[in-house]
Amino acid sequence: MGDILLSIRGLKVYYYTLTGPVRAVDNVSMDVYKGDWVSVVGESGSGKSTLALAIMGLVPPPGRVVGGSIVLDGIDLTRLEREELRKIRGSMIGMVFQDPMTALDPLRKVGDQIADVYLEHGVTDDREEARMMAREALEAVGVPGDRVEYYPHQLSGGQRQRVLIAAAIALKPKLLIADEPTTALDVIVQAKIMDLIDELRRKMGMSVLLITHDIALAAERSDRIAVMYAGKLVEYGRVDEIVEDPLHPYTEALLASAPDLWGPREIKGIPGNPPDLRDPPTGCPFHPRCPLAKPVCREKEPRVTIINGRVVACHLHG
Amino acid sequence: MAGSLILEVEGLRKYFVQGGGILGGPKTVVKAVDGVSFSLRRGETLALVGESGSGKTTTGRLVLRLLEPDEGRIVFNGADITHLPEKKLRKLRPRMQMIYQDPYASLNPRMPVGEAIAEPLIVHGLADKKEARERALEMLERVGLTPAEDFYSRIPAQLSGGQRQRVVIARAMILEPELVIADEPVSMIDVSMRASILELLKSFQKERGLAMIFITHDLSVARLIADRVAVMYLGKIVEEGPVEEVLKDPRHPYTAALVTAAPSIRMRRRKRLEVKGEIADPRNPPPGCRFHPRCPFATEKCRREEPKLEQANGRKVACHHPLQKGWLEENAASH
Repeated sequence: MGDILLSIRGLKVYYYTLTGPVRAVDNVSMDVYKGDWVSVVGESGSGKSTLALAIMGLVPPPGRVVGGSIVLDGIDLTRLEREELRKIRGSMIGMVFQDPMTALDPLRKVGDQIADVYLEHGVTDDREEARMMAREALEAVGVPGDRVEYYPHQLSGGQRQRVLIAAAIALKPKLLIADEPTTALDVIVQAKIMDLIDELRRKMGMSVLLITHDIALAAERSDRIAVMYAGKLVEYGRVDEIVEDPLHPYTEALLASAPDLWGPREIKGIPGNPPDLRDPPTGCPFHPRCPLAKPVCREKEPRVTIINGRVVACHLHG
Repeated sequence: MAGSLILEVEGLRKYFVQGGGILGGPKTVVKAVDGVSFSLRRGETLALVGESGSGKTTTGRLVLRLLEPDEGRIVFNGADITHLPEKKLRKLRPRMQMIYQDPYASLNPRMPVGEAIAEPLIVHGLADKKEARERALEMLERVGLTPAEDFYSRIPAQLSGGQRQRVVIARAMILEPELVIADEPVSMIDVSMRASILELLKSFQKERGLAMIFITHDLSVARLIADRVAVMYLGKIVEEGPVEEVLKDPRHPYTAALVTAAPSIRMRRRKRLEVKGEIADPRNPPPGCRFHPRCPFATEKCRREEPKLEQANGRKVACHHPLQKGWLEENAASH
C-alpha cells in the first residue's frame, strides 16, 4: 500500500456569505499515498475545487478553513503562517489550473515565468542560470526549448498547459494538484496532457490529485477515486472497486450519467437538482435525489464507514 | 424515421478578414468554413462535431443566415434562402431556431422566465399578450418547470443551470420551428442533468418531426442524440455518415483519433491512434489535406492534394488513405 503523503482529517471549509455560511467542504477525511494518482470527482458545488484550494492554502475570502487538519509529509498545513505556506507551495505542492491563459502573465516570456520559480525559491540567484533551467524544464514537458522566448499567446492551448506544468513541477514537488487542467482543451490534447502528468508522476514518484467533473477521465487515469457531493466525501476507494462495484448510490448514478462511446447509447440522469449549500437537505445530502432513500436518510447524516478498506458514507452500508 | 428533405447546404464558405483596419497591422484571412455541404431530413438529427476552430459553430450560424456566406447555397424547404432579403427572412425566422450553449448569457437576467418564453410570440406577431402568456405557461409545463404559474415569474438567477436550459429550449420551441440548431446545449450543464435535457430535445423532435443540427465537441454526447454525424476539421467535413457506423468503424484517421482519445469507463485500456500536435491556426491551414501534419498515415500525396469528401456505401470520407473497414475494432478495442 505504501506510505501516506497527504492525510486530511475532518476538514471543514466554510464561505461566510451575507446570506449565511456555505459549507463548501464539510468534514472530509482522506489519505493520499505516495506515488498514487487520486481523482476527486463531483459536480459544480460539490466542494472539489475548494478542497484543492484548502490544501494549497488558497481559500479566498469570505472562505475559511474552520476545522480539521491537512497533514503533508508530517506538516499540518492548516497551522502554517502565510509565508511558510508560500514556500511549501511550489516546493512540495505543484498546482495546475483549468485556464492556462489566466495563470500566465500575457506580457512576459514563458521562459522568464518559469525561471521565476527557481529564483523565488532560492534554487539559484542567477537569472541566466534560472533561464537555462527553465529551458530544460520546458523540454522535459515536451515543449521545444526555444519556446522560452515566446509569449503565452504565441503558444497553443496544449503548449500553454505544458508551460504551467513545467512551472508546477520545477521544484520536484511531492504532490501535483491539477484542477480541471484539460477542460478547455480538446480530447486529443487532453489525452496527451494526461499522459505527460502520468509520465512525470512515475519519473518523479510524486502523487497526483486531479480535480474533475469527468468520472470517465478519472476512471482511466487514477489509482483511487474520491466522490464528493454537497461538500461531503461520499465514497473513496480503488478505481476498480469504484467503477465496477460502487457502494454509494450517487457514485452509481454518476457512472450511469457518463456518456461512453464503448457503452450503451443512452445515459441516465439524476432526478432533481444539486443541493443549495446555503440550505442543505437534512440527513444525507443526497437523499432527495436518491432512488434508495429510506426514512433514516432524511433524519440522520450517515457516518463515514470503512468496509474492507473502502470508505463510504451511506445508511445502506453500515 | 427521417422524412422529406428540409435543408440542403452546398459548398458553404465563410472567410473572416482580421486586422488591416485603421490601426494597420497585417491583414489575415481566417477560413472558418471552407466548402461545407450536407443535407438534413425532417425528424433527423445531424451532429456537427469538431474541436474549437473546426468551423462547426460558424456553419450553424450560416445556415440560419445569422452570418452571410461568401459562397455556397442554403436551401430550406426547397427554397433557396442564401440571398433572401432581411424582410423576407424575418418571416422565416420562427421556423428555424437556435439554442445556445450558455443558458446564463442567452437569458435576460431581469426578465421573468415566463415572459422570456412568451416574448418571441409577441416579437413575431404570432400572439397577443394574453395568449402568449397562456402559451408560455403551457410551455413551462411541457418542459417540466412546474408548477408553471410559480416558475413564470421567477428570474434566471432563481433557477439551476438545467432549469435555465429548459427555459432556453421552451423559448425556441414555442415558435414551433421546423429546424433547430442546438450549439453545445449541454456542455455547461452538470453531468447529472444532461440526460434530461437531451431527452427533452428528443421528445420535441419526436412530437413534431423536427429536424435538428446538434453542434458539439463531444462525440460521446453526439452519439446519444444524433442519427448522423459530420466530423469537421479546419473548416471542412472530413467524415460523415450514420452516427453508430462512423463511431464504431471510422474511416478518417482524425475521427479514429477522436474516438480513441475520448475517455471511456467501459474501455479503459484501449489503444489510441496517436496524432501529432494540435489543430493548426485556421488563418494558415496546411496545404493539401489539412490534417496531414498530424496524421500518422500521411504521404506525399496528402501534402500536395486536397482530398474530396467522397461517398462510398452510405459513408463519406475525405481522405487519400482511409482506414480499412473494421480498423477500430482490430486496433483499439482488442488491446
